[in-house]
Amino acid sequence: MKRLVYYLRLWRGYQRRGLVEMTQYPADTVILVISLILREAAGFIGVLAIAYAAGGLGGWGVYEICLMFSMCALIESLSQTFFDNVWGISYLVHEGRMDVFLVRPAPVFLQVLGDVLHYPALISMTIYGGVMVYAMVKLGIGVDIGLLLFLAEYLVCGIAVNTGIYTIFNCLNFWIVQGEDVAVLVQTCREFAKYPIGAFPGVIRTVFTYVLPFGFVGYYPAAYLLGKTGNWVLAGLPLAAAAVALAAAVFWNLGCRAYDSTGT
Amino acid sequence: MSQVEVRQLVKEYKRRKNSQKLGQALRSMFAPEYEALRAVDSVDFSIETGESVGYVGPNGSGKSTTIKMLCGILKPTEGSVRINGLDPFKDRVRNSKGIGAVFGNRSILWWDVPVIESYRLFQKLYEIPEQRFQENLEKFTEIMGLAPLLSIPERQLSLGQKMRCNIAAAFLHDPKIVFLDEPTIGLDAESKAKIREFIRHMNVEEKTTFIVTSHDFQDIESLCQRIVLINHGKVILDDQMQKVKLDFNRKKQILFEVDVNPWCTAGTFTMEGVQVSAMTPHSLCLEYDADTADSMGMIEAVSKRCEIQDITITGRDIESIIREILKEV
Repeated sequence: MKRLVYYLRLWRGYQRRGLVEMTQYPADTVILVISLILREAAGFIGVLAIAYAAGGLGGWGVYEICLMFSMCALIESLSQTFFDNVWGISYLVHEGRMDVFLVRPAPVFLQVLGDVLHYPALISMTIYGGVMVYAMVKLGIGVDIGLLLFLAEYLVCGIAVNTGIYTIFNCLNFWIVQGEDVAVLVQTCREFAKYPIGAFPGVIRTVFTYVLPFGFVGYYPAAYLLGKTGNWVLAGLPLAAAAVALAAAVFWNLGCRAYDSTGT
Repeated sequence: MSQVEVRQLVKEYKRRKNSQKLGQALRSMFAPEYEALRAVDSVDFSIETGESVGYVGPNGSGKSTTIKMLCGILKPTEGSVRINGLDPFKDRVRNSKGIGAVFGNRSILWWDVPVIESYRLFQKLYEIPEQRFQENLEKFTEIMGLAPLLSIPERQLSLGQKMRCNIAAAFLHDPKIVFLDEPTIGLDAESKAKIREFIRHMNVEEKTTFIVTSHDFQDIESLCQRIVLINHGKVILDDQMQKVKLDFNRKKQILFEVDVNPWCTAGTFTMEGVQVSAMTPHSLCLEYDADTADSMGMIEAVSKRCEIQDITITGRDIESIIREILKEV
């Protein structure tokens, strides 16, 4: 319990630092917001165009695709805000910056995350939150306590799956020099998860359900909301999140043990 | 028990063998061959509370690797380390509360927020009580002149200012022992002096133990009572600074400035236990063993042949002593 209070206080400290940092670079903040919105929108608009022309995609209508896209974007922007520095592991390891974290009495992973916080990403989150609400209204999905609880579960588990997978592949940097390339490959794969997975062949579906469960970041939760799939999603989300988080923790710990700093 | 106990410490790095031949290089992509590199080889020492130890040696001798094992950054291949009774690698979190570390080539602050914000985060990281934090901050600010720097982001500070802020940060949580890995690398004389004054103050007033590695022997000479010399991963000297100087300082130098140096044109200066170490038409530098040769005799001998304008006698500093020890081994 005492540990937990310590972590929370520390996290607040890191948040404060992140906010102060943001005020130091107003121009960067604006550019970051624009680039984040565009990044998600680029894929979004492409799929929407196809869906309009074909009158749907894999049995999904335009607003249904809107819903899934905005849900994905919500997870991505929250991950960008608080968990983006898993992409910094490469730099931290190869430059020997981990030394500094290892001599402090706090969990190294917490320090890594706290080092880079992108608050501007919250603006892109708000925008995609708006798109999601709009799609829900158009689709006639009513707000009740069940929906809110589900969304809460989805956000927590979706972020865990997303960040967990990124962590696992970025941890390869502890062993190999160009590990970042692998992680970029994985992020590219994630683009698949923004489309209705049902439209893909069985192999790809299996991969995104059981191997890299990106399906739980957008497709399955959206399908559940739309009544396209059953209640198993309610259990599947935390299971996938737990499995990925566990694997990430194992990789992280093995990686830290393999860390051998750099010559100075 | 001593505050720091290092027993038979070994660190081996695996390094991939690189071949010059392309064929072999391609083969090594799939079946790499490794060679073991002993960076630290059976090192032993103990340090008592309040000691100040200079850990010196040439580049690549294993200094930084040892320090990293003492901080808990690296896992020793063999042997053991105990800091305040704890194993720094296995008990990393508990150990790190009692130690401070400064890396000369790596900042421990956050570079894009004002220094004081970094200090505030340190306060949370180490759970420093507010009152203690204020007292320390005030004291450090005064000794190292940090007051005008606290509101500036680290990225806008000069190297010397940066280092002063870094060193203060490492002492904020009242560590019992502080590791300083090249704390004055690349700094100007004034920054060096301030940093030395601060470290000395913490050592004398607060009884903070510290281990400092440096290539600047003025640092070592002015800060450390004890010196540990390491080369090729092995400790080759571990003794009190005073004793090292006495033991190795029997050799002295005497420099004569003269109107005309007669030995420059004809003959050589000869006297038992004396060597000519340098000579110009107007000066003569002799090196002698204080036990066997007599400086008065030399002055007399020189003054017979020419007019002496100035005489300087110097003992050797710790730097040249170390250089000689390294040459002998």
